[in-house]
Amino acid sequence: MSDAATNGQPLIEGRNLTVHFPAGATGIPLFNRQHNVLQAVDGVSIAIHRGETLGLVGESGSGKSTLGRALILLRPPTSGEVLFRGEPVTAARGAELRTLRRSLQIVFQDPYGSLNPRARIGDIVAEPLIVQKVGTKAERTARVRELLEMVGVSSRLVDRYPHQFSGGQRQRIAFARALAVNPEVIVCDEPISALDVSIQAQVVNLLEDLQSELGLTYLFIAHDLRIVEHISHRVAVMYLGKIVETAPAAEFYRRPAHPYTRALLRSRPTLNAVRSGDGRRATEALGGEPPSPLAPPPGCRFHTRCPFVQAERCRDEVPELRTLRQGHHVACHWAEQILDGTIEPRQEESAAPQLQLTRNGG
Amino acid sequence: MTEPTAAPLLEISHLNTVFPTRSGLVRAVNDVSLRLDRGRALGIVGESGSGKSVTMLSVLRLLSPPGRVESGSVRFDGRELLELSEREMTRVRGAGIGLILQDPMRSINPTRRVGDHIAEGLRLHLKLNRRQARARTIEYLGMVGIPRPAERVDDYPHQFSGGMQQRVMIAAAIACEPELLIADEPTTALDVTIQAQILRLIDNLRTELGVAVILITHDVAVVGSFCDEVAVMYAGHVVEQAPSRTLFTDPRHPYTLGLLRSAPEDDTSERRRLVPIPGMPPDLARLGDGCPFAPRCEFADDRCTSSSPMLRELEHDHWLSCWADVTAETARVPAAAGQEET
Repeated sequence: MSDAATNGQPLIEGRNLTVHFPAGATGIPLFNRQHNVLQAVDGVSIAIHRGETLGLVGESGSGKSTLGRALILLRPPTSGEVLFRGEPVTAARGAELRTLRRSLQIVFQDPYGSLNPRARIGDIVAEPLIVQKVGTKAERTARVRELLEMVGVSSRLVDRYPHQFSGGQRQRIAFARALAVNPEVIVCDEPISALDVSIQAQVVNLLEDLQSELGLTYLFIAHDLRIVEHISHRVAVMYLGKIVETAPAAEFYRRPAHPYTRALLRSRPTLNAVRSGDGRRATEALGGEPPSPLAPPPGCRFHTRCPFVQAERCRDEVPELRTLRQGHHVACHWAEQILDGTIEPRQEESAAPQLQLTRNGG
Repeated sequence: MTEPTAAPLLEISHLNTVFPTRSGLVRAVNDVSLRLDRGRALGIVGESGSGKSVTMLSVLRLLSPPGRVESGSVRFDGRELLELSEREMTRVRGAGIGLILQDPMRSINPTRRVGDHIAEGLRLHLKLNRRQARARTIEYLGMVGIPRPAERVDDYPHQFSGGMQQRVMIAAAIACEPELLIADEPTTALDVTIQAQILRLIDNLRTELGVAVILITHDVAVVGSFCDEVAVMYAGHVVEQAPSRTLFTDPRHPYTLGLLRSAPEDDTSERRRLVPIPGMPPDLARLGDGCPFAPRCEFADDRCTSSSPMLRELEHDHWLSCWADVTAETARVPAAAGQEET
């Protein structure tokens, strides 16, 4: 399903999406003088095909969750357009929006915060059915049992409360709720970050099973690059509100072109390096910190940290997301030269800022 | 590797820590023994509830009541910590052992200036006066990579990013020149690129200043990369311990194998289905006589459920607590991966 998926019309698509938040808002009108704007998502276009998993990675504050919410109409974009099955849906309201919501669901990071602690899990899973006025009470009860079994939670436990379940089981319940109304697209917003390693694998396998059984389409938001590599057909990287690179997963991990992607991949420790006895050296730290999204740098937003930054263009010309080769897009003026090695990284940027390590008095 | 000529810096022997609760006595740490030589880095991996943090809180005697050390010994720099007076222990915590916690936003006092967090320890433990403490604070802020430390010393924590706050906590932990730095999930709350910076910083402190490091994390690749030796904990027990390269090339405990198989491989072309460890960790208030991992272990037999294996030395420096003789080869992924959770 993955390879064919990239042809034809996308199931869901964001065109030139921008989401701005008023910043410095205090909640007290008198003090809301400054009109700063936080550009959480800035002119992003993104398309996901039916049955595909698009992994979305980036640091906190890069706008990945906001983009996910805008795409499934939970957060109205400041400008730009969302298309679902090729139809523009950005302006949908009322009954039309409610119908669309059946198709567009989300699962959140924290299974402790996202389930009402006072509701029985059966009622939690039934809620979308009630909101959407699906079936009779008896039909809903049967459907809830079916959903719980589908995600691997015994349907005998419908009368239990969330606190009686482990984190992994709660996340299964959250998926059962999302699946209740037969959605086509599920935004998975860091769905496994709060879980232990061995439990993460269980939930990842569940996600893959559900996708092959139900033909689901996922936007999988995460910061763990290894899990994203495993689960995604394509990967997109965000930095300060913009997508800087997107490519098929295999290409993304083997031939990353954007300096930020390259830095992300090099800053994760790998067991392969440990096994070959060079774990310490293999991990490279990118210097600096992401600038404030309130005042993004001019030109390429990554130029303040970029080890490949050039005197020309980088500081004053915003790089557009352009096609490097089939399916591989990058927003860097110098991607080709970086890939073929004509431009080399500055040495001092390849490691963390050198520390002055001298011990006082001895 | 290194000859064990000198006494280890830290030697934990047969430590047992318990928490009395309404549902019974929770055995959080069970017969844990660990040793660490000066200037070395020891990693402790395990899932939540495996006892890795409680072991370190026991060492520092920072357990919150009614938690208590039931038995065992903790020798640090030749002294038995469990017998020190509270006053002496305070000195060890400040100047002997530095501690860095997971979430800098929570371990920092938002109403006090950044520099105060460091100067406080300097004045208390090293008896520096206000001016000396300030000078040294600025020096340490610079050392951990805070730009323009002389200006930033008077900032409040909210003016710092998460990564910068964690640098401040590291500066506070090392300013009194401890022999040992305990870092409990120091990078879990931070972004990937910042994680690498902080791990680099801790590693540089170890190599340049000779501070021994205990790094507690759930990320096997992180401990493998930055520690000389790794101990794997499960249900309050050390189940396997070895030099990190050995542990990750030749893991011998079924739990260690399970941890490695449940995470995706690096840089592989084929998409292998992940193999989760079935079931869930045991209730620490109801540990039986057998191996605590037996209920989830695909190799468990009668012996495993009836008596708990002792930690024994397999080969030089490679310790294992398991009855079964399992290797990565003999434990090739079984076709049916067993039922998953529930």
